[in-house]
Amino acid sequence: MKKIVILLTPIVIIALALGCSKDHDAPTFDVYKKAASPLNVEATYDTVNDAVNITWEMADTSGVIDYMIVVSDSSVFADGTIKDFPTNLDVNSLVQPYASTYDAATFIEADVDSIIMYYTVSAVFDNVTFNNYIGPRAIVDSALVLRK
Amino acid sequence: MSAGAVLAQDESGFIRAASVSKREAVVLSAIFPGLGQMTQGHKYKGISLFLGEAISMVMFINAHENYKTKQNIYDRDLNIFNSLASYEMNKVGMYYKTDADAKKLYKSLQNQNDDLDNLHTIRNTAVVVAVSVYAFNIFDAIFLSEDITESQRAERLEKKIRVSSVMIDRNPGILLSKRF
Repeated sequence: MKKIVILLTPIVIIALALGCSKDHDAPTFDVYKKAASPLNVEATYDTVNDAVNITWEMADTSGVIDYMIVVSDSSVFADGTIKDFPTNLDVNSLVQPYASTYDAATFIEADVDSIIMYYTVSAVFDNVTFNNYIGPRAIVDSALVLRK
Repeated sequence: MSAGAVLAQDESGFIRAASVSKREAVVLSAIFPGLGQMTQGHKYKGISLFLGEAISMVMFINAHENYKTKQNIYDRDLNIFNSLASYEMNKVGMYYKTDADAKKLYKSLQNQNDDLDNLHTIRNTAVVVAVSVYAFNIFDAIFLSEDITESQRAERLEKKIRVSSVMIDRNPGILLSKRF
């Protein structure tokens, strides 16, 4: 029995060491964390012009070439019908907060008298790290759009 | 001598008889664990070692092959993930790579990484068990099993006692027989 214990002890230690070892690296999200999201997104409906005004702020605009407005008709944002609209704004010439205005009909296809739409904004990055990469979405804001 | 005493002798190896020498048993054990023990009459020990080695080897081969396949997929996806941000795949005025894509791929990579870790642990455990069983098998064949000569083997075969069930006056009984 003593011989068996002496024989098995180093084997168990080796098994534990091998079992706990890893021969590949876990993925990291560090690179993508450099892409920041816009802040304070506010969407308001302009009844006079039948347009939706969207404003937001961006703390650090280095590497930002554009913004992407993302619209959904569901409070569960990803489950709704989603549309993307590049703003094509000249970011460097703008003063914060940024803003963009869309005709309400751009977002709504159905013939409804009113609807709550959900808006968010992502920054588009193009620099050494990113190549036309759409960053994370900002916190979603809702707006009641009246059509009739 | 009572039946109980005879059966006790049976359990202690009185009936059990070796058919090969210790040297031959060591060679057989070296070829595959358990063979030497089985041929020396240690059936249960031999079968246990044989099954332990066979199962751990099957587990190792299976986990190793799965690991290699999954690692190839993982490496491919990791390359896509690492180059997603900077890779030239856009058209003018269109953006195809989003943070949502990166997060989705990252989540998938994390799951794949967990699978790889589990397979790695199974693979290593299986190979250590296989090596342990093999080492114990050799150790047992060399140091723990007894060596017998041809004359001792013949003597043991002669001493073999047969145990069989019989009916005596419609009552069940045990018959012990031995050739002299």
